[in-house]
Parts: sequence; structure tokens; C-alpha cells
Amino acid sequence: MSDKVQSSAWFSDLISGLVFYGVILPAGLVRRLIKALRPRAPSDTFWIARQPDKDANSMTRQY
Amino acid sequence: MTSILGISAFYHDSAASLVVDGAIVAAAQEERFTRRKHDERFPSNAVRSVLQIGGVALKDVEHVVFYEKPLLKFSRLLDTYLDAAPQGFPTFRRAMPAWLGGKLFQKRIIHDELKRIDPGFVDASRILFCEHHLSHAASAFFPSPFEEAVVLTLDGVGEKATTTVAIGRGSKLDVVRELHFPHSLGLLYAAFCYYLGFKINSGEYKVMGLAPYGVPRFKSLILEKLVDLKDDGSFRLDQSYFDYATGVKMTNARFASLFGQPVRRPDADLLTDFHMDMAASIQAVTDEIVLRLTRSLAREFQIPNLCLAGGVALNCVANGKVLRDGAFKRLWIQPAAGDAGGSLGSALAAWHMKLGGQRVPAARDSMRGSLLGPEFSQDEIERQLTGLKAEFEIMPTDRLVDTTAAALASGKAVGWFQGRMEFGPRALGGRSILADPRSDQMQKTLNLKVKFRESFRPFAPSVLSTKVSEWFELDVDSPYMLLVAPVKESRRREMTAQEAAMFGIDKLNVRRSEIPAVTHVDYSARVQTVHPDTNPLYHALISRFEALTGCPVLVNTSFNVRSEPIVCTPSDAFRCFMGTDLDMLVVGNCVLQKSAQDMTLAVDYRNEFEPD
Repeated sequence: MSDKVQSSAWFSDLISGLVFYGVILPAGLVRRLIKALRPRAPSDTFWIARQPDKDANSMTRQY
Repeated sequence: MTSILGISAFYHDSAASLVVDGAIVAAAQEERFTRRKHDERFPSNAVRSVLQIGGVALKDVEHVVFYEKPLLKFSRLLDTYLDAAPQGFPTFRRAMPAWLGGKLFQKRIIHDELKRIDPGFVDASRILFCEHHLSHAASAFFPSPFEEAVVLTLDGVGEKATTTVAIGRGSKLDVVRELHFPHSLGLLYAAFCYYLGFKINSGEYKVMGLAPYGVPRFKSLILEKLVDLKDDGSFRLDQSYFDYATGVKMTNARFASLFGQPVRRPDADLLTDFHMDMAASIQAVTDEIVLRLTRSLAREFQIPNLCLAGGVALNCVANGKVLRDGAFKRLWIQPAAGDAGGSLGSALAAWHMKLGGQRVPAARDSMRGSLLGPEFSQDEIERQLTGLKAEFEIMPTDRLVDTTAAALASGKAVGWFQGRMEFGPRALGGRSILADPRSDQMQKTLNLKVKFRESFRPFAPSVLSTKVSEWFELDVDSPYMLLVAPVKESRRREMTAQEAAMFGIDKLNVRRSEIPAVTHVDYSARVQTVHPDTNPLYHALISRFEALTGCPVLVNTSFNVRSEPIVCTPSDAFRCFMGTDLDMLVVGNCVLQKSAQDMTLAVDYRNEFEPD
């Protein structure tokens, strides 16, 4: 049982590592590069405007 | 009849609320049933309780609404790691299996849990999802007495938003702007809470209570280095000082180096002037941010009413300042402003925003005094107490009120258990420990012998609503103990120069007013106004106490010991009564004197609860 748990944890770590260093890191670096190339214009506010949600079905979604 | 069940769960303070045809029928937090503070698990007990109170079967509920959107939350998590990589792998490694192993499929988890409660609940399409901050905003606006209001929500984080502004009109509520994670006032306050050695999501009250002992000498440093604060109150936090976004701690070494001391170890390091000054400083920064927000919103929208919710809205010091600032004429704060209240907000949002239910604002509000939890019949109370071998006397209500008021006037600490349980973190006269505020020693006695908690923590007063302005600098209702106001100047006793120069906590020993047990060292008090329509028995008790003493004020603190959830049942109340130095317990019409009890029944259960 304990071997099973250990091997499952090892497998989970491997997959997490592959996703983190293989996908998240490169995508994050690209995103940061794009942000650096398009710097935010100085503003006197940090508010992010939001359009009122007119979709009556939005509560059926999990996103 | 349309019944909607709202649920908050899986982070902290899980809860369930029931709304029937738009009316708030019942609401309760899971921790009260499981006896695990801030319980985050699916609120099965709370769901059963609110359905029973409403007389509704789960299979007949039109919609079950979850208080946030799980996939939006997951996308925020990914965003955060995208911004932080290559940092953050240790927490990513732990978080991802949890999400992929179940949290991403919350609809299925919720449906399975509901089917466990009632196998007849088969239609998963009845489960809806409401954004976290919309749930908060709905919990603040829809029960409020306002036809139109600006709604400000502030908390740690929901999905992405940490702060939102919404406009409520009639039965409509639109979020118009927001601030996003990691820029969060709730998390900034939590970071200082952690730095001061208190538990986050629990110790924030302690920081607020500690603040008046200190001097806000770090306020400018915080605003200069940690917070980029605009004139309109919007802000960003310099993440190079924090670790919470992708780490396992709230603050990092740079944060400690900025203030010159390491994180306080709660078991090893005593509270010093430094910690008090830090608490005062973060409280002053919070006040500043909240006031800039509310002033700018009042100017921009020209609407005289403000509603508040989100965990930061439990900061009653900041709330009191917003009220006294006067930018908004009227203020209403959701009593369950934290995540528990999200269950109520999500249900109300579904009723008004999805089903188009109309709204008629109530004169005071539609929260029914926030007494929305379970109650126990006299028969059930007697059955439970008898089963526990308690010695009690049954009294008619008039005699019960007389006896309790006389006991309080003679300096006894009384456990008071009446009617429905409160929804939200405050005891409001349903599950309260009461005492005489005129006593010099009461604060120390209650803290050390009854509540077993830190001696610096203040107690709150309940005052008859008609007498509030005679005792406090406050002339509006504060039924949910969410406003701090100064004790009336004529009731105060000024400290001498020698007393004022005392070390922070030593000032507690100085008599500061006619009601020292509820007067903090800066003469402030967290006031609850008591109204005869929402809490007639408690109102009658305070009135009788006033007739005996001339004082229409009582000490009101939650009926529990440190780290314990507030008592829910008569059995919980008896156990707390026997395990503490409470002198008397009043449950329904049963009166229990400590001296009459078999003390072999007393169990020292203080160490059962993980320290908060």
C-alpha cells in the first residue's frame, strides 16, 4: 500500500514538473515578453472596468 | 413557492442559506454543527438545518447556487503561475493534483453531496454558480434597506477579483469595476496578521483589537514601499515583499527586513510595542484605503447609500470611520460579510438576477436581526439538559429576565442561549456570554477565566437602541456589531499623564469610563444596538438591567471559548458553561446556577480546539 502511494506521488510530481517547466514556464516567459514590449500607459487608477453582465444564463456556467 | 439554496464551501467558513420567494428564511455556518472553527467542508449539516427550518425538501428546491465559479478560480491560479514561473513549483506541485483530482469537477462533487442528503435531488442542471464577489455584493445589497446603493466588496480573493464596485438599483445589481489578485486589501491585512504571529482568516480581529495599543509609526513606510495607492483608492501591492501568490507563507525575508524584525513566533515571542505599532500601522493604512475608496465612489456616483461586504467589511474600525466621514449618508453592512455570507448572496442573486424576482426593501433590512439559524423548543432544551444531568430551574419569562438581570448586576458572568442562532461571526444575543460593563475587573476576568484568550482583547457592548447616543458617539443603528464608535465624552474618565504613558496592555487596568469592560484603551467600542422587534427578550433583559443599575449596556461576547465555534445546541452551551468560570446559564426558560451543578460533570475541553 505504502509503495503504491509513493509511486503515485512520484508519478504526480513528474507530471506536475513536466507541465510546470514544459508549459507554464515557457508560456509565462512569452507573456512577460509581450507585456514588456507593450508597457502599461501611466494611469491615475488601477481599476479594471467591467461591462455589466447581460447574459441571463451566466449562472449556469462555472466560468 | 420557489426555494433557492445557497452554498459556500471548500475554502473556509462553509455555510448554507435558504431563500423562499425572495425572503431570507434560514442561514447557518457548518462550523457550528461540526464544532470545527472555520470548517471548509461541504456544509451538509447546515444544508439539512436550513431545509428543516424552511420545511423544504431538497428535491423540491428550484436551484442550488454555489458562491463562486470554480473554473474562473482555476484560470486565476494558472495566471498566477504564468506570472511567477520558474518560482512557485512547490505549491504548483501540491495544488494541481488537488484540482485535477476533483476541485475542477465541483459541480459533480456538489451534486454527489446533495444526493447524499436527499437521493431525490437528481437534476444537476439545477446547480448554478455565482461569481464570488457578486455573491458578496448581492449579500450586501439585496437585504439592505436601500432602493439604490453603491456596493463595495473587499476581501482576500475570490476567483480573480479582490475588490469590486457594483451599483444596485431595485432588483438589479451590476459590477462595474474591480481590482484583481494579487492586489488585495484582505491579503495585505492577512500578511500583517501572519507577521504578527496570528493565524490568518481568524486572527485579523486580534490585529484590529491590538491596534489601539500602538502608534501607527510605520504607516508611511507601508504606503511608500508596499502599497501604490491612487487618489481614488485603487491600489497595487509590491509583490517583492510578499510570498502568498505562489508560496507557502504570507510574507518573505524582504518584508521582515523592511520592518527590522522577524515574523513573531506566537508561542515564544511576547507582544511588544513594536507589534502594537505594526498593528496600529496596518489598521491606519486600511482606514486610509477604505476612506479613499468610499470618498471617491461617493463623489463619482452621487448615490447617498453604501453597502459593504467581503471579509474586510468585518473591520468595524474602518467601517466606523466610513460612517463618521459622512461621504455616504447611509451605510449598511452584511452581518455575515465573510465567505459564509456568500451562500446567502448567491441565493439572492439567483432569485433576483436569474429568476427576475422583484425586491421590496425592508424598513431596517431583511436579515431578521441575522437570527437565521436553528432554535430549540423548551421541551427539547429540557430533554437535552436532563440527559446531561444538569440541575436547572424552569422559570416564567418575566422571572427569568428579573433573575438574570439581578445576577448580571451582582457581577456574575451569564451564558445566554435564546431563540435562533446567529448567522455570521458575531453573537448578537442568541448565543452570548453577558456581563456587567461597569466592572473594572470584568474584561480581565472574562478573557482569562471564561474565554481563555489573550488579555488584550476588548469586549463589545450591547446597548438599547434608544439609548445609544447617550453612551456612544453614534446616532445610527448598529444591530450587527459592525461599527466602532467612541464612548460618549461625558461617560469617559480621562487618563492622567502617568496612566497615558503606561505600556500598552497595562492601560487596561486603568478605569477609562463608566463602562470600562467595553471601553478600549482609545475609548472606542464595537457597538451593538438592540431592538425590541428583532430581539425582544434580549431587549427586555437589558431594559431590566437598566432599571436595576441605570446602565442600558451589557457586555456581549460570543458564547464559546477561544478557538471554539459559537455554541449551537443546549448541550454545547452546557458543556461550555461547565468548562469555564461562567456563574449562570440561561437556556430557554431553564436557569442553571453553577453552584448547583455536579462539578464532576465539568470537562476541561479547552485543549480540544486548535489554537487560533
